[in-house]
Amino acid sequence: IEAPRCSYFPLLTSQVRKYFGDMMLNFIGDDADIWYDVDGTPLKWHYPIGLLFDLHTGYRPDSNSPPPLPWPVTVHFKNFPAEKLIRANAIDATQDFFMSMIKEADFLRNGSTKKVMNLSKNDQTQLWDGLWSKNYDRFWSVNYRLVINDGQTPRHIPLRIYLPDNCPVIQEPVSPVDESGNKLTLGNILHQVLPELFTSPLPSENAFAVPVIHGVIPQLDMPIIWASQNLCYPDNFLHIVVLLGI
Amino acid sequence: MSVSLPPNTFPKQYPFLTRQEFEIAAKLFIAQSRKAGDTEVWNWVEHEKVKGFGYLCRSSIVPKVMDKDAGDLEEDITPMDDVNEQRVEVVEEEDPSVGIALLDLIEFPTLLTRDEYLTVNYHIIFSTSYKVPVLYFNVCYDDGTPLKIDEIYSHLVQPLRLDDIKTAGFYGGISQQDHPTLSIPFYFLHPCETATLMRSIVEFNTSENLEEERITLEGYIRSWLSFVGPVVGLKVGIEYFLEI
Repeated sequence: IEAPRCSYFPLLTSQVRKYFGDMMLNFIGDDADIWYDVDGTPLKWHYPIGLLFDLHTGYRPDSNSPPPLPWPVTVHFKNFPAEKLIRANAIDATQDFFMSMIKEADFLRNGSTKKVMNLSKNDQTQLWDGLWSKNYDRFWSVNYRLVINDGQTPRHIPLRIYLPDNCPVIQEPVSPVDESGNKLTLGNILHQVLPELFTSPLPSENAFAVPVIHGVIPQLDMPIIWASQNLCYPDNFLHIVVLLGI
Repeated sequence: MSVSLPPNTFPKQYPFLTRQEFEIAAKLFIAQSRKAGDTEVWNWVEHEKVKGFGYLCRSSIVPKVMDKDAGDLEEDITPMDDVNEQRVEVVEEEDPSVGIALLDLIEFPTLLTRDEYLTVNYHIIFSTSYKVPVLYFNVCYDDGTPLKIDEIYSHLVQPLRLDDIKTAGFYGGISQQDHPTLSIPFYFLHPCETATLMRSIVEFNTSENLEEERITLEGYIRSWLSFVGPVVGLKVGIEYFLEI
């Protein structure tokens, strides 16, 4: 299956079921019992697919080897690991999660969720519908307003940083500007949040740690505001995987 | 670890906390719980490798809320009948002193049997986005089986609050999320109304002899918890609030 980086595994489930159904292997149960794993690790279905790939493969885009594609993912139809994975009620749960991330992003940017809550019901539906039906224009017609934020500088950038070895996810509120109002770069932010890994905000030749967003190593000198508006996932968050080692 | 603070230290951006303020408030809350003599102790736990992800936790035994449906009431009656029958047999065959002990049970039918309790793990974590504490919890039956969301509504949520919580959704309802330190699923109460709640609490400041429209760091967690906890079976006793 070709899966969009910005989509979610539960949105692939109907395709997966049809694939097996076509082979006369019909699964009678609930979509909520279906789960996915890679090398024995259950995949968090509420994480975007692209993020899961970057995180689980640890693939360095700057290495000489080709990316590990196709990505072998195992689909399960029973034994849902409820102690490791959030209970999914198929599409509804994915949409709820998605919307709660959008609201959290709004709260981080503006100190309240008014903007999102004031979107018309139609607009709120457009966001989700645009995403799952892969309708770029439909999605962005609403998301644009959230992300551009009426031109107001956000208080904080919605950001999550993923480190290896089952480290807890880092979600510190970061301001996009310094005390004098100067725009901070991605390098500034990484240096601020992870000073032992990013010893300077400037790129260095043999950096021990590199950030990966959407499978690409971004330039450290890009303003974090620009990164947030242009490189965030549909849930409005910048999900940054940090890979270690040369 | 003891924390000494000048009295009447307020969170700098009340009702919001910084992580450091949360840690201080949490440790003060633990001290209050010890003084209050709570047998179900609150503990502070850090991530094994990384700093700055500490949280409060406590394991509690909580009586199961019984369903009001007639169907369930019938189920409740039947086991007692079984016990009565067994009791009669034992009294006739076995040591009479055993019979006397069991007779006590007959006299007090309000004693709950083992399967009428739930074990709840309550965790109080800090939300870096909403800058307030959040109540996370997981619940099991006596045999260790975890409860699903419908069962949580039936057996843990206090009946008077049930409709509110079920319809609250994002505004204080119950959902599942990854625990920020442990990265495993926990149920939690949505925190986005917490700031509004904390702004509406008024506390009497005895040393200044006036009413404060904000809570000190020392009082923050017990006040917050005394409002959000009872919804899911967690009560904060009056002893937490007494000056000792």
